Parts: sequence; C-alpha cells; structure tokens
Amino acid sequence: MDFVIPENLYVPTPPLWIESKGFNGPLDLLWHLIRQQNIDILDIPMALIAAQYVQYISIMTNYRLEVAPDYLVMAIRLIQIKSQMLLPKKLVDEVIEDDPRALLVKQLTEYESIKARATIIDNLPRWERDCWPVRISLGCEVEPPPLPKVVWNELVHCYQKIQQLQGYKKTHEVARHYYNLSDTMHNIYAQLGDGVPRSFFRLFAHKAPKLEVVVAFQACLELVKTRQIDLTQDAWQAEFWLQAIDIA
Amino acid sequence: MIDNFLLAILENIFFVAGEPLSVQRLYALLHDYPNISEEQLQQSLDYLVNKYLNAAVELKVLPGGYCMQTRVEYSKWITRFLQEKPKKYSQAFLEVLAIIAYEQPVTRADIEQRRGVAVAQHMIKSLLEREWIKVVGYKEAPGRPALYATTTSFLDYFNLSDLDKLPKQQVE
Repeated sequence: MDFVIPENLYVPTPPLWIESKGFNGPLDLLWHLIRQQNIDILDIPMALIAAQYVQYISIMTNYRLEVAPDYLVMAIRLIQIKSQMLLPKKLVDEVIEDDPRALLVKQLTEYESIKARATIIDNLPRWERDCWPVRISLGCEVEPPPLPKVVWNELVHCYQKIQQLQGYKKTHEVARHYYNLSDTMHNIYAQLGDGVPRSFFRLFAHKAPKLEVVVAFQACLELVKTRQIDLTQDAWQAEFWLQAIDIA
Repeated sequence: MIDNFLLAILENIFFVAGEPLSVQRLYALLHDYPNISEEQLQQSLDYLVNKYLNAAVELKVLPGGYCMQTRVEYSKWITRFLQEKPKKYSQAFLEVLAIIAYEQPVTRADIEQRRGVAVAQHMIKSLLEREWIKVVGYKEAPGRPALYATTTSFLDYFNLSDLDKLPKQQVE
C-alpha cells in the first residue's frame, strides 16, 4: 500500500472505545472522527480522515481487537476517494464531475438517521422494562416430588446386581446376510413348481429381514421379465400373486 | 345492557392471561354464554377499558388484543420489587430492528448495506425467534432473498397501537 501516514498526524483522543463496547461498524467510527473534530460533513477533508481512520484500524489491531473485514473495505474506499479528490476535476461537457465523496456522505447521513431511529425505539415504553402484562399466579403449581437420597452402599449393591445380570446374556452378534439374486430367483420359481398361484407375501417366514424381501421382489420382477412367471394383482395396493408360466 | 357477571368473567381472564387476548379468542371462550353476541362482547370490553382508565392497572388495547398491564408511571417500584435488571438491547440489535421497522419490507442485504457491517444474520435470527419480525415474501433478485417485516408481537411489546405510531424523527 502506497499510503504513508504523516508523522505528526493528530489522532483524536483516545480509545474510549476500548472501555466501551466498540464501534458498530466503519460508519460509526467515521462519525466518531467527524464529530470529535467538528468536521463539516458536506466538506470532509479526505486526506485527514483517511489517515486517521487507517491509524485507528492499526491501533485496534495492535490491541488485538477484532477488526471486521468491513472496516478494511472502508479503509480502501476512503483511500480511493482521497486519491480521486487529488485528481484535477474533469470538465465533461461543461459539467463538473460528481464529488467523489457524495456516496459516502449519503451513506453517513442515512446511518445517522438509523442510529436516531434505534434510539427512538429504545425509548418507547416497552414490556419487561416499563410495563408488564398482569398475570396472577394460580398458585397450584405442584412441586415435583423430591428424588430419594441415594446411599452409597445401595449404589454398590446395584452395580453388583447389574454385573450379575450381564452374565446371563450371551454376546449377540449381528451377522450381515447376503442375498443372491439368482439363488432367490431359483428359490421362488421352485416354490411355484406346482403351478398354483402363490401370494408374494406368503413366500417369506414371518418377520423376514427387509433386505430379503427387497431381493425377493427384485427376483420376481426378473422372473416376469424373463417370462418365467406371471404377476397379478386384484386391486391397488392389494396382495399380488405369482404363478409359473407353463412352457410346455 | 350491562351484564356484571360477564364483565367479571372478562376481568378475571384478563388478570390471569398475562398476554394480549384478541376479541376472537374471547368470543370463542364465551361461545356458550347465554345470549352472547359480538356486539355485547365489544360493549363489555369498551366498558372495562373505560373502567380501568384511572385505575392502578390499565386495560390496554394492543394490536394483539386486550391486555391488562401495569402502568409505566410505576415501573421504578415494580422493577425494584421484581429485582430484575431491566432488559437492555445492544445498539446493533436496535439498529437492525429500526431498519426493519421503518423501512419494511427489507432484505438482509439491505440491512447490511445501510449499517455498513455484514453481520445481520445473527440479529435477524434473534428477531425471528422473538417473533418480532417475519418473512413476508421474497425479492425478485438473484438468490430470492427473504423480505422481513415487523409483526403484531413487535407492536404489542413496544405498546404501539399500529405501525403509524412509530415516532417520526425530528428533522434537525
């Protein structure tokens, strides 16, 4: 950054903000600088303000205060505006270019009114501070019964009992079942060998695992595709029936 | 026709409620009261508001409904009695609220641009949780950002009978 902070730069006293909660953003900080030095907002001395602002940011960084990216963005903006001010004003069709500070001034003024409005809201009579909706306590809230006091040796006794119970349980291993599609297809076709229509759901043992049912369904669809069985259903969401197709 | 029994029911309910009660809600509550009508209910409510005009507590008519409230004049003693620190809201929170209240509907981006700080999300979430603001639509812009506006609860909390009652700024 080609920006040199002048040596005898006057930085308005002092970090009151270290004691307070800090600034509410770059606009807030700018207002602080403007107010403290009685600067006319309609004619902001950009070189001075930009320098002071940057100095503030570096002080904040040195004190390890959190400097949000928004502050840095503003710093760049201020320097940009300052540079633009240094350029000779162009005369385009006899009309002087806009003041490069214009947008900033607009933003500052708007922010000022937001702060004022925030104060207005804060000063409104409000619940939990100035008035309260009345509420008679109905006095029938029942206190939950106190939990019984636990005695140390009871705890030990409990623990021993639990350990005993553990002994009655064998470790149970959950094995992964694998289902083979073509085996399932053979299986189902075999069950239909006598030519009698069978319900899909009767093919399974009670509480068959979900995966088994899914694979069986897939097997049925394959069998239908290869024209080995017929699938019929009487009504929407009713049972469906499988029947082997006679090849003979 | 003044029905004292009806008036007493209403008064009791107001003291027990602890929140604003709308006419609809009261009417539903009294649906099987003999000869109840909307006019009679409204007359009774008007009567009660009048009765409490100079009483120690007031029956306030808020956008959320009728609410029996303590008076602002006595807040000092009530605060002392409650031994609670009065709730304070941060400047940033109030600024976000002010932008929404005065310029609604607005998007998060609008709020952040006005304040020059990109941290409205936290405040907005807080305001939504309190039900002081709500989403009233989406802007026709990339990302279809949500548009926020204040709610009835917001008006109730700040004792505003409607949004127009938000004080205008003094022009310096």
